[in-house]
Amino acid sequence: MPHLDEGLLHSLVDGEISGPELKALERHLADCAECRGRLEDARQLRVETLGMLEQLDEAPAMLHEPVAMPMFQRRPDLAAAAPPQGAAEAKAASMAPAARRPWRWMGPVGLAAAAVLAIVIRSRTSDAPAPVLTPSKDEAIALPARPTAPAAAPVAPATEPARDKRAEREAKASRRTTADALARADTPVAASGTVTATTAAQAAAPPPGRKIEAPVLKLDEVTAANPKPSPLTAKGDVLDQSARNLARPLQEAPTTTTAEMAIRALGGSIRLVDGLAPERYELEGIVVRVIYRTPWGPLALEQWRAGNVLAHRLRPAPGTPDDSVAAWTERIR
Amino acid sequence: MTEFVAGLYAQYRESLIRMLYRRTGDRDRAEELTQEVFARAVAAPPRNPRPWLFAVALNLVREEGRKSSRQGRHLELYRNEQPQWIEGADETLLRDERIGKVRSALAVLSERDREVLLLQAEGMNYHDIAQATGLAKGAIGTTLARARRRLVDAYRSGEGNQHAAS
Repeated sequence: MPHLDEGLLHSLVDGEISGPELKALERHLADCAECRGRLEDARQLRVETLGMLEQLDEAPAMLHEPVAMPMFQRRPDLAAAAPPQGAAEAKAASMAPAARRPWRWMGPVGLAAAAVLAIVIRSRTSDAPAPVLTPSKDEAIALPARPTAPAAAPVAPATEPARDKRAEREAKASRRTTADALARADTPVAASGTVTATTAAQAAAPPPGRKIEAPVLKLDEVTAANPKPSPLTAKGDVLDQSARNLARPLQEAPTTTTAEMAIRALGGSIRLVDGLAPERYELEGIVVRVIYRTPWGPLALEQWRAGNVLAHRLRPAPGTPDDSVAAWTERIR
Repeated sequence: MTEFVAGLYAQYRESLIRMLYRRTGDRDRAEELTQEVFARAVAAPPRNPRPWLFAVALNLVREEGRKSSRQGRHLELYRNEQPQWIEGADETLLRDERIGKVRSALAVLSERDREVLLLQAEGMNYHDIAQATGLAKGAIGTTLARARRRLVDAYRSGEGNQHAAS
């Protein structure tokens, strides 16, 4: 048997080889002093590199403080949604060995789930802190595609009057921005929350006509629309962002954006190709593109909100095999 | 779905932040990128979460690097956190020098080698590393062997320091 390949030796020290293959390697190592020496080298390299990477974790003292979660702190109502500390710690204890190492500047893991909720809540509301919302955790995580009712009436915690006043000022500013944006558009068409449900297929192939009774809107119609401010948009809800997008010229260059902003631009939900990891998100007018990297070039999943429907189309790179396109199309969620 | 994503968050947040901090050298960015990763997981819960979460995290780092290049900004692979306290100047200096040396050595590696190394250091098996990076599972051992040797050589020779200075 020839000497063992270095990659194989590293697979061995990483515990990636088992069964008959392991037995064969052990037999060879028993007879080959050179490979035993190289195996020891591989082991040393592994230990040394892991030690070097761990040195990077030695953060400055200022980082020893628990990591603040501003949104969580601003939203005491979300605290109830956090899993019990014990449960989170039990999950942390079941992590891989490397992940169990002390991580001195890490914030309390017990806040974890609540922080996820905070991210989502923030994605559904305006940029300003919105202490007036009190959604249930299910509602927050589900990111409903279409807000169904105006936000609840503000309930100001008596202990934080200053913060509420600031939030109110910011909410007013947000409403002004929306109203200004809407006033700039010129075609009188309603594209507000009054549109009723239809199928995704209909929205993807929009029929002619712009009547409310036939609520499916073409992309260019939506772009040219001048929606009147609805109760929903006036409440600083996610439709604010959509309304701003409607007033934005379509011909502007695409800008790279975050998943959070993309979700907001689409009114609270997004479609993705299951099994592919998005490389980036782009925003152009009301169209959001999720870009994936494929062997044939970038794959774009374009989508936009038409009424209460999230329409989409897949744009593969030239030369992409049809069966790949068909497989991705089936996996759009 | 709530429990699913919350469970992922509890299980992988720490590991993701650590990997991203090692990769970027910027704690705030590591936190922000981790939040972005989970925002994407909320939008579409992944079927095979572990490699998916780490793949998205690494995509975000690469995307950030590209954006910096496009905007003509100086691309810093690693931005060292500057300590804002005095804890014993000698100790601090020595530690910073050591950390800087590791970061410089890490910067010598190719993007792919660095990613594989960081993922393995998080306890990921070869199957998951292959899924997260798009490499064949059979290539992971060879990639790791090369990455480990290159890192140690660069650290010992100070190659990274010359690289960073150029």
